[in-house]
Amino acid sequence: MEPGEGIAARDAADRPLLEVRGLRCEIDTTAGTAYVLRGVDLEVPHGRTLGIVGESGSGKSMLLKSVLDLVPSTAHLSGSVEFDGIDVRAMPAGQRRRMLGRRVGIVFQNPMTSLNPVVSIGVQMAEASRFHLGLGRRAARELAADLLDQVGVPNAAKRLDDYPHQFSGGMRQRVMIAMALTCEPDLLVADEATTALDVTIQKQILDLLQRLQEERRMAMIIVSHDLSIVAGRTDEVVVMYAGRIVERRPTDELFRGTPHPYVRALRAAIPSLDTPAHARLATMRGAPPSVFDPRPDPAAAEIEDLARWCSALEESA
Amino acid sequence: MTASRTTAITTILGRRRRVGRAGRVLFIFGVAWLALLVLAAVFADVIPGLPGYEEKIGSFAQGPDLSTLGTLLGTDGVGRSNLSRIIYGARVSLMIAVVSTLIGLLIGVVFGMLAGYYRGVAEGVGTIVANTLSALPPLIMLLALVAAIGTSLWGITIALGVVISDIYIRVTKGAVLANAQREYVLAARSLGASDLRIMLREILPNLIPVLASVVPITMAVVVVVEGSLSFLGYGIPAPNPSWGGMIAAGADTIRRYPGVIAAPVITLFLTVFSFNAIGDYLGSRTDRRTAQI
Repeated sequence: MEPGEGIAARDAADRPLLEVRGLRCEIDTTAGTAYVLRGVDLEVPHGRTLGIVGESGSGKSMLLKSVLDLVPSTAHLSGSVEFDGIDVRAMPAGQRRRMLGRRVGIVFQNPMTSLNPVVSIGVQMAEASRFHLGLGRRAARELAADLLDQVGVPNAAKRLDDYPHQFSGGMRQRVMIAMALTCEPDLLVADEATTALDVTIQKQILDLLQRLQEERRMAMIIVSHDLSIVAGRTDEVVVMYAGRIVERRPTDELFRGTPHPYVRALRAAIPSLDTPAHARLATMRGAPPSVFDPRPDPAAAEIEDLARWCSALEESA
Repeated sequence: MTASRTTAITTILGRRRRVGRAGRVLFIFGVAWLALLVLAAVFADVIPGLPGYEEKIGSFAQGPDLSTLGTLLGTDGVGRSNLSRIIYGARVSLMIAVVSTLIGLLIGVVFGMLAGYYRGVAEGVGTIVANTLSALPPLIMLLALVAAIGTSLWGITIALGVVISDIYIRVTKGAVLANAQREYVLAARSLGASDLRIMLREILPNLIPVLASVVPITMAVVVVVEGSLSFLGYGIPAPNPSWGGMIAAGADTIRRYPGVIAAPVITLFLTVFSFNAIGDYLGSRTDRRTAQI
């Protein structure tokens, strides 16, 4: 157990598992400073599921990476991140890595590249348990086989010697999920985990994640650009736009109807089964603000964003 | 396990066909030739009927005579067995080829890995080292290095290793750049893996197919360059036999006794050819594998 963890566990019940306050992330690039996160506040309570949705480039993935200390060294972070009452950003890097590596499991977007192509599945899966849990070779292998079985990989024990290219996309994502579960994490993060999969496999993977989350009472964050992924599978949804969280609501409220113009515009863009063929869907004018735009005046930024969001609604009206 | 192993083997065999029949035949030939050379070099002292490399077995510049093993490839300018000198020379040539390639690999993988993984300053240093090495004319640099370290077996081996390391720096850096972008590196980092662990356990295995196709090519280069050094008199000191030295000696009498130079030249040619054939074959195989993944 990490120092300080015991004290934190005592009042864990009333604290959220993850608490992010005023998180900003700026990255120096050759093209100038990229303002990736512009002050994000977020909580994930124990055992609950949070959905993060937003357009490409809105900062969803960078938010996760900033929280989990996976940003490049050229990134400047500010704000606070508390995991289970522990100030993550104040920890020494090695300690932070050990704690987050064990207590947070991540499933990445692309199952084709998120497994090492030249290392067998069994060895890859065993790495985490040997490193964090100190298991021996054989125990780690048994745990890996057990986890593969739990995520529904047939013939689990036999497939440990297979390499990633011998698995289909959906099966690889199951392997990723099994790897993320190795150290019994308190938080499971699915970063566009189903985006690269076809729709029927998407449903299987999402059902699997939901089942595992309920069984293991983990908290979960589902990140997607697709509103239909988070519908019905999350307790709360936050909507990101240009590095900020612009809307945050319990899931059913968000889908029942929210006055927020951006969310309404996004919902107007979802085709329904009743939509006649060749009908034009609502679109927003222009592009979201550039990450290189410092947006020094919040009021002006607000007006600019509102104008863009409302443009889609005017069109559909 | 057996079922999945079998499918893996059949897919590899299925893919191998696309490399082309000629490439495979040359690969097999190359492996066979090098195997023969290595076996002969290793067991040179116990091959029955093989004379010592300094032993005079007949008059000078005899043509091939099939009656005894020693005279199979004829004799050199002072009546020593060409076959024996080629086999003992193979010890030196192959040893230098292997060890200097390992030295080059070590230098190249360390610099290339740091450059490709950390980018920034490390990348600048790696690029400058690689560019400097390839900007200097290799033979001149070799002569300078050999002069500095000494004309010993080790001096030549280390110098050759340094000279070929620029290729490995470049190849490694490129492959590391491509792999470090992949999500499995991010996944490993999210599991708490340190930089060193990611480099050694995650990225290094991915470099093997890429480097495997470069290794035989640089071995071929080393064999040729070592021959050139010996030819120029900066090679392995006499009386130790070396292919380059034999070619140099034979060159003096090439007009009247072309047979003396033919044996080492053909051996050198076949050896370099074999290394290249193996390198090409591995290269075409690994390209396809990385493309598939």
